[in-house]
Amino acid sequence: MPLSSFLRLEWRHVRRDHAFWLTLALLAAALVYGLANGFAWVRFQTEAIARANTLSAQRLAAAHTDAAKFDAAPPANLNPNLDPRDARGFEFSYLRRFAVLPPAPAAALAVGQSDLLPSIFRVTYRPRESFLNSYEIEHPLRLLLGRFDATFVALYLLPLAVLVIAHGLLAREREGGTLDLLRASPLSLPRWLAVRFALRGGLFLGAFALVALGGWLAFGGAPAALPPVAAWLALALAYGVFWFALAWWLGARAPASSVSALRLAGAWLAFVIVLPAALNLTLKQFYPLPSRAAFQDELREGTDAANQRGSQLLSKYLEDHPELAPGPVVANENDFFRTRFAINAELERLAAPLRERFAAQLSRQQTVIERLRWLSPALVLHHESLRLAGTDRARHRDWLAAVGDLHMRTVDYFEPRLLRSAGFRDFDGVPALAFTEPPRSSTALFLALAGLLLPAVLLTALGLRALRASV
Amino acid sequence: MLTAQKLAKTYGAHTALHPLDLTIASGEIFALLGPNGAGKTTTINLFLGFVAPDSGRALVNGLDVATHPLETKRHLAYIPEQVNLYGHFSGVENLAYFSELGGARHPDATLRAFLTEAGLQIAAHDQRVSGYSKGMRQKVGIAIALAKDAKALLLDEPTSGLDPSASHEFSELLRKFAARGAAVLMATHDLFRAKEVATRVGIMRHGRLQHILTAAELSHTDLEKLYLETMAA
Repeated sequence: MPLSSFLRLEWRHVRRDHAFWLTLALLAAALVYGLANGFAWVRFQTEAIARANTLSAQRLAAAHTDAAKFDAAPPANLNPNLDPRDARGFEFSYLRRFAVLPPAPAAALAVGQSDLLPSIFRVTYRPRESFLNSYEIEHPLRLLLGRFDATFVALYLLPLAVLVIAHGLLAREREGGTLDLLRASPLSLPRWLAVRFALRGGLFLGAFALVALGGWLAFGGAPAALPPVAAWLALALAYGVFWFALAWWLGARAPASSVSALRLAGAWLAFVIVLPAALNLTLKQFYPLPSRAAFQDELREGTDAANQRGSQLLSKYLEDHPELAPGPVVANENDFFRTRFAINAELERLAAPLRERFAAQLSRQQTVIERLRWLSPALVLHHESLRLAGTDRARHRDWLAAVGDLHMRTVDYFEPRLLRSAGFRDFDGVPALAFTEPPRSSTALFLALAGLLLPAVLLTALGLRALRASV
Repeated sequence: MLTAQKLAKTYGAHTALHPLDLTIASGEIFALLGPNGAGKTTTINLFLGFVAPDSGRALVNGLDVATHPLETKRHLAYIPEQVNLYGHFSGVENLAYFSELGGARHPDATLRAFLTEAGLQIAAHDQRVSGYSKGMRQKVGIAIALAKDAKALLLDEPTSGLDPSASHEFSELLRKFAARGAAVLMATHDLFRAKEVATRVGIMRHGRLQHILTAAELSHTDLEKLYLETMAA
């Protein structure tokens, strides 16, 4: 019998299979909701970044305006902290310099931990920990479930949907009593069953792809994002193919449809929940992050000690020169700033190795995850989805490095200017963030696809062998 | 026609069918009688290719079932004790599905004609099979055989659970089938029906075909007496 006839006959079944259409509808609804959530989050981030940039531009414009105004009509008794022509005044009252990490074009697909990891910092010359204080530095798999986004739907719900529509297709024929009539027909049962799977899988995954793509465009996804969206779709479909292949293999060996369903549910539990959680625990056990509380305590002690020495220095200076206290502001404030810079340098010296230890351990954890993700198709999909969406830790780490670099350049820029203070005009010369998006290689994508499809091919072959032996 | 040549089947230490030689010609109805475990269903399954013989051959229209599994099935139809169809399809939809699987695609009117010929009332053609009685499902099974233009018909306990009038109706259908030139092998416990409809009757026990008789040779009483003597021996 030609393939077209098989497909046409199976279509008759699928048309009447209410469970199939209901499951598809529910998954489609979940996907649309996931996309809506993803786009809402991206919109929130984009608006926050826009507000920060607007504020920055407004304050800069105000600096220009006020400087011109004060030049034209110098106000009497103007507080230097409010004078843009004074470096200290500009830095204190006008400079609002933000380092922002804009959402990548496909960010709506996978929020990841971008809702935990800050994407906006107001960078100043002050110690880094004064503006990096909201940084969550737990290991990458801490919040495995994450937001209900499109990747969540693919990761968790797609396999469950496959379970509903594809479990025990052969056993159901046996239990329904139609298997004997089928076996008495001049058809190859393995081929017939393969066509059933292929049609159901093709319809189901095809509909998933259409809803994902349609939803992306309907929510106003950028055309520039179509390549990573297409890549993500390929991954999600490969993930779906894996689960269909697993259902095929388990169904070929299961004596009853309920057994097949239970085994498939067990596989979901193992691959999607237990294995990632086990990896989580392994990381905690063998690559624990240094205690954040200890980090904060150490930093606080160092800050206190440095501040204490700074106060002693300033006190000593004023003791030695009582005529300068409260005295002319200029001399006192230069010492204050000089002392401040000395304290900041000391804090940087204390904090740098602590940050390095965290970063090194985080990097070791990331290496382990890179190697062990092949144990579970869920980890493969999750890892690659975050990378495609630009919400992975690697991109955030690169951006943080750029923020660190900006901080150092800001310190170098302001130290001499704050001491010199007056006659400041370089409003537009303040260092800006230099962050280049890291190049995205397609090798990782192809490896991920292979990691999903190769097991699927193996399972399909094993299932075919089991089927031929049983029928 | 259906031919068994030294056809035998063993399951472990148990011989389900001792070497069987049997030929059922076109137009003949052969009723295979025997208790549970006699080897009747094993014989049917060997002709269907559901199990492989340990020795001998099963031939359908001259083709070896073992070496031509798909080809032989084009020529035969099977009606199990319970004809289970797809409950979400109607009678005509099930007929269309299974006849097309069997290699025969017919227009809707022809399919309905087959159903009517099989005795299924017209009002039931478009009803979901989930609401059918056993007799109605069997009629669809017969219609499938008609649609396939099967040269051989294998039946396993077809009248089990049917009331006398349904059973009689079924017998008439079998005769119609045989009249078209099909070879019919029917495994049954129903001595009365076997005598009524069969051309020949075989009595099987412990995997051996003990007696083969022409149905016309014996009365109902004689057949029953021979059956009981065979079982008691």
